[in-house]
Formats: sequence, C-alpha cells, structure tokens
Amino acid sequence: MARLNDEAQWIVLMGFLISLAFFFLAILLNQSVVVGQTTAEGVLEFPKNDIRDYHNEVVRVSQANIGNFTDPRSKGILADFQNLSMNRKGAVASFNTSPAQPGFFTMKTYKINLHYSNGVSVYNETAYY
Amino acid sequence: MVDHAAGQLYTIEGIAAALIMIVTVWIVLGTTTMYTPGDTHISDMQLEQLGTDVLAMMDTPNSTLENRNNTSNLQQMIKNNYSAFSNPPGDYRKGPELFNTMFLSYANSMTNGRADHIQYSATVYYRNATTPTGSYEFSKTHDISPGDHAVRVTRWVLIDNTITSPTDYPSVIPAPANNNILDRRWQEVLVEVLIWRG
Repeated sequence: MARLNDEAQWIVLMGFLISLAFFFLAILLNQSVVVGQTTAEGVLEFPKNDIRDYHNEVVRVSQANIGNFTDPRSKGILADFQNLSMNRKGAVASFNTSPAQPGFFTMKTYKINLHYSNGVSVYNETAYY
Repeated sequence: MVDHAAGQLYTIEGIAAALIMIVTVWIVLGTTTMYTPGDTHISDMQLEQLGTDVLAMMDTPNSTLENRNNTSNLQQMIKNNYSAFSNPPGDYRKGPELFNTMFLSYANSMTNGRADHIQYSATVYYRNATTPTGSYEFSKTHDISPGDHAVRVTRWVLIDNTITSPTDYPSVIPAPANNNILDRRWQEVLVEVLIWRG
C-alpha cells in the first residue's frame, strides 16, 4: 500500500470499512449486557412479592370481615401491618376495607384500599371484587 | 520525515492499526467484566420466587369437611406452636415439626425425582401489648449458619388467637389451642424465612 503499486486500494479501503462495521456490532453487544444487568437489578429491587402478599392478606382480612373499623376485632390488625412492615421491611403500609355490599344473587362485593411505599417504589390500589 | 516523504503512508497505517487494536481491547475488557454480578442476581431471584411460592402454597386453605374454619396449614402451624395437638387429625406433632416436613418437601422437590439441597431458618415476628416487635425462632433445618447467597422471603399470616369455641370444630379433631406467645386476639404475624442452598 505504501509502495508505488496502487492497485489494491479499494480492497484495503473495504477492509477498513468492514472493521468499522465490526466495531459498531461489538458496541451493540457490549451495551446489551449492561441493559440486561440494569433490568435484572430493577426487577430485583421492585418489591413484587411483598406487594402481592400484602394485597392477598388485605383481601383475606376483608373477607374475614374483621378489617372494617366498625368491628371490634379489627383493633390491632392495622397496627400489626404498620408496625411489622415498618420494622422488618422499612415500608409504610396502610389499608382500609369497606363492609361487604350485596351483589348478584348470593355474591358480595368488597372494596379495599391499600397503600405501600418503601421509599423507592410506591403502590396504591383500590379494588372491588 | 522532513527531507524525504517516503514513510508517510507507513506512519498513517501504523496509527490506524494502533487505534483499531486499542478500541478492540477497550470493548473486550468492558464487555467481559459485566457478566458476574448479573448472573448472581438471576439465581437469587429464582430462589426468592421459589420460597415465596412455597409459603403461598402452605398458606392456601384446602376446603375439606375437617377444615370448617377455612384455615390454611401455615395458620394452624403457627397457632399450635406449643400445643400438644395439631391438625390434620391423628397427627399430634407440633407446628414447627409440621412446618419442617412440609416446607422441605415443597422446596426440595425437583422434576427429575431427586431432592434439592435447600435449607431454611424461619422466624415469626409479632406485635403485642408489651413488645412493639417481638420475634421467636419458629423452625429451622440445622444449627448452622446460612451459606452464601441466602435470600429472605416473607409471608403475612392472619391468626385467630381468640378462644376457639368447640362448636366450630367437628368432634373428631381436638380444637387447636392458642399460641401462648401471641396476644389473645385476631392479628397479623409476619413469617420470615431465610433460605439458601447448602
């Protein structure tokens, strides 16, 4: 190439361009690993199981009909949730439920309200079922 | 390079080749060091999901005639912590022993028929009038420390620790006694299980 023979310049130029294309592909591969890691960290950090368990338990409390605050048995249930989730999970949790409303035939309708926040993820839900 | 220009293209070639090699090394080093932390996260997530599912299975009531109060196995185990009686009928072991049997059989069953090597240590956290957050050790596999990559899974459990009226239960089953540690009321306790492969 650096000699006086100039015949193969196109081939050398194509080789150079192809090496640049390889760089582009390698950078894509490099960044894809970073994307996978940050996604895994985000999924791990989101308290999915905590929220599902909490929702499930509030539904159970409302079905046992002890979660609405006119029932004397409800004393302490909310305090249990707030105290234990603050001490063990560092999360603010609160909820309230409404008494069962008559629905179709023998079915009943419940309404629950729940709030969960651990400082990073905040979750609010109002559900009828 | 001043007097004669014969080596100029050689110099440019050399610089281009050096740049190509340096960029290649930079990309290669930046790529390989990323793999290790990502892999451990994924296996921790799988173990956490497994433990959560096991606790969810144990906390699901099975509706049979003997189970008139619609309570789950986990609720009965915690309530009968120090009593001599236990559900199901005829099985008079204490709650922690039943928890041990059931948790290990759920967590360690694999599709190829052999058993996995998952160990656990379970603690119950509660609130009562005197202690804002009390706890007691509920059940565990061995007296050993957790190994590497232990994950913590939790489950809220609703306990009816009031006096059980005998009419709620059929006569063939002794009525569950109350848990002596917890207050005599409806309450939520938090079961924390530390699991690891060991």
